[in-house]
Amino acid sequence: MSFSTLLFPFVFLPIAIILYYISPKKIRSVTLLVLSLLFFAWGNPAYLLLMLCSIAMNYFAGLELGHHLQAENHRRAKTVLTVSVIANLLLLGFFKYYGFLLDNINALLHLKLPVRTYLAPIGLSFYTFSLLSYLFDVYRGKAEMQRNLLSFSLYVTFFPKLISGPIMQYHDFEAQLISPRVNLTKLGDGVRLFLIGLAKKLLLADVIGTSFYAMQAQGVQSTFGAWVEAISYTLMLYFDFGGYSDMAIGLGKMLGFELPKNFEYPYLCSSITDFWRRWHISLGSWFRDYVYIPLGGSREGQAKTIRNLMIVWLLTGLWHGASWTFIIWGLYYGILLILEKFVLKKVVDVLPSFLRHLLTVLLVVVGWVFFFSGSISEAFGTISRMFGKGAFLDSTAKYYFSGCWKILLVGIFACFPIGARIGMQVYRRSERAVVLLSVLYFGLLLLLCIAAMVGGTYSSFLYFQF
Amino acid sequence: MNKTTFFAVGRWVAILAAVIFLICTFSSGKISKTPLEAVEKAVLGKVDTTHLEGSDAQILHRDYGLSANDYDGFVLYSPKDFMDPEEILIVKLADTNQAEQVASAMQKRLDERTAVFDNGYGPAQYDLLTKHSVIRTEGNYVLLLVSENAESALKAFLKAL
Repeated sequence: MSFSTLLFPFVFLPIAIILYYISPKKIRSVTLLVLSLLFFAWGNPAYLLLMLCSIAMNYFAGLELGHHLQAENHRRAKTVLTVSVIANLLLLGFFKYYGFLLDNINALLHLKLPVRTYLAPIGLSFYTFSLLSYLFDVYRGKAEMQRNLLSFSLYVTFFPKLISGPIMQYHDFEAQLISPRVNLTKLGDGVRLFLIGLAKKLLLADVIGTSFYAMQAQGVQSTFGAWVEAISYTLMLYFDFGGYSDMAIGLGKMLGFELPKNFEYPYLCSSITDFWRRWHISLGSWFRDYVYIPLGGSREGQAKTIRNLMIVWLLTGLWHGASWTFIIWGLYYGILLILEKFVLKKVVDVLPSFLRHLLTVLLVVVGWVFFFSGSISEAFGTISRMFGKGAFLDSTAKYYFSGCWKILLVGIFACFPIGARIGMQVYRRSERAVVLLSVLYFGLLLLLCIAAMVGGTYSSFLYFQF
Repeated sequence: MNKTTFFAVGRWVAILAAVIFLICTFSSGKISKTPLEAVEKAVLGKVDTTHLEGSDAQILHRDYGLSANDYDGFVLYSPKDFMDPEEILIVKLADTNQAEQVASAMQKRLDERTAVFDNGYGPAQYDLLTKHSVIRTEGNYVLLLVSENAESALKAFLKAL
């Protein structure tokens, strides 16, 4: 089930909120778990069984880990952790990387092994990372083993974050599992955030996406066209995933939970390091806490820091998908970060901030070309066109740009916090006229979103594929 | 049995259950390995394509709002003339979770086309759209057919999978 179809905001969500609020406090978790499982099973109930197996396996693994650690049997605890992590990764690998691996073995060894790809359960990459976070937290003593199966299941399946995050680390979610706080202010805040996210998705991402996909289908052949295509994708991806994250955080608030921020105006970044502090924050934090730091981080000299950075970025690329374009995209960021930290640091530091910002955004836009291209050659074709190969302007680019420049401008404006800051100032005031204005504004936003949902056609969230 | 042994047994039972689930699900043949081209050939073999022409990703997005990039593949045959009701769309899903969305998009398209010919504006076309149309989801394939031979084409589709 997707947040941006009519079924979710007009059927599932109201029913979920009503059931949750009218449930006695003692059984609220049960209500939420049932709703979350229903949400997960919608459209493909078969994978529910697999999800339940996953939950059971990690629940028992957590208990086993906890008991071995209490008995100070660290060797056994390490074995349990290793086996459980491998089991989780095998499941993820089976669905995500099996086909890719066989394709590459066939290509390398000139074999013809039959390749069969399997359709992955929705949100697999996200909930697998949640499960791994739990195991690592228990093993490292950052959290207690969870004895309550209901609470543990809820941590894994909590529907606002289930499909596309934000990826919650277990120690952050644990405290909230005991008694989520619901009140009218939080509910209102949640509805406001949900609406903002819905508007980002339907009124910006999907509208920009229309021209982007049309340009992709036509194939732009000029420098200008390649830039319009890349910038369109840059904006579409941000409003699509950022919108989803806003909706998830808003839903969490409605149910009394605080989910972590996933985006902080990423295109205002002044360096690549800064970009990754602002983009998909929860994934970056996960890799930092569970891969980069355990590998030694930046504490063991330059050579090991470089190695650790490349490992983390290779894995980040792979996490996004089983394709060479994602791997190259990940390594591209690894190399950029290494250059920024060790080679060009002095140059970067003296650059005027405007220039630094511009260069960073330029590198990010180029990076997204690998993300949206079907193959490496296609990606390099687009990049070479962006940097001057072929004509400067072609009729296709001209045609699509004349249709989309206004929405691109709106998108660029929405990348800045000005609108949100004004909105928050207004939202926090309690004068009657201001409150009325605020209600009218959000009412209008809702109407526009409904119109987009009714009149438009379905477009899934881009990050669902990961 | 002490606690840790109990937990270990629980963990291994869950792993075993997951493995059994995967074996059962993927050996049942629900997910078809048949290439899209073969499915297309089977369906087209049963349908009169005089009024149809092959369409691209742009038409798919315009008529159905589906982005070709989201799927493993698609085959779309649109009517040559606006007044022709015949249409074929086969979508090979990248994820079975997409089935509901694709089928809804197909249903919406079918409803829109039916509305065009409603109220006596095109009784023959209306008849074809309401009585000889099929939307069918089979594992990782979703099919829309509007054709006089929809039934036999559907059989060919199922057989091809």
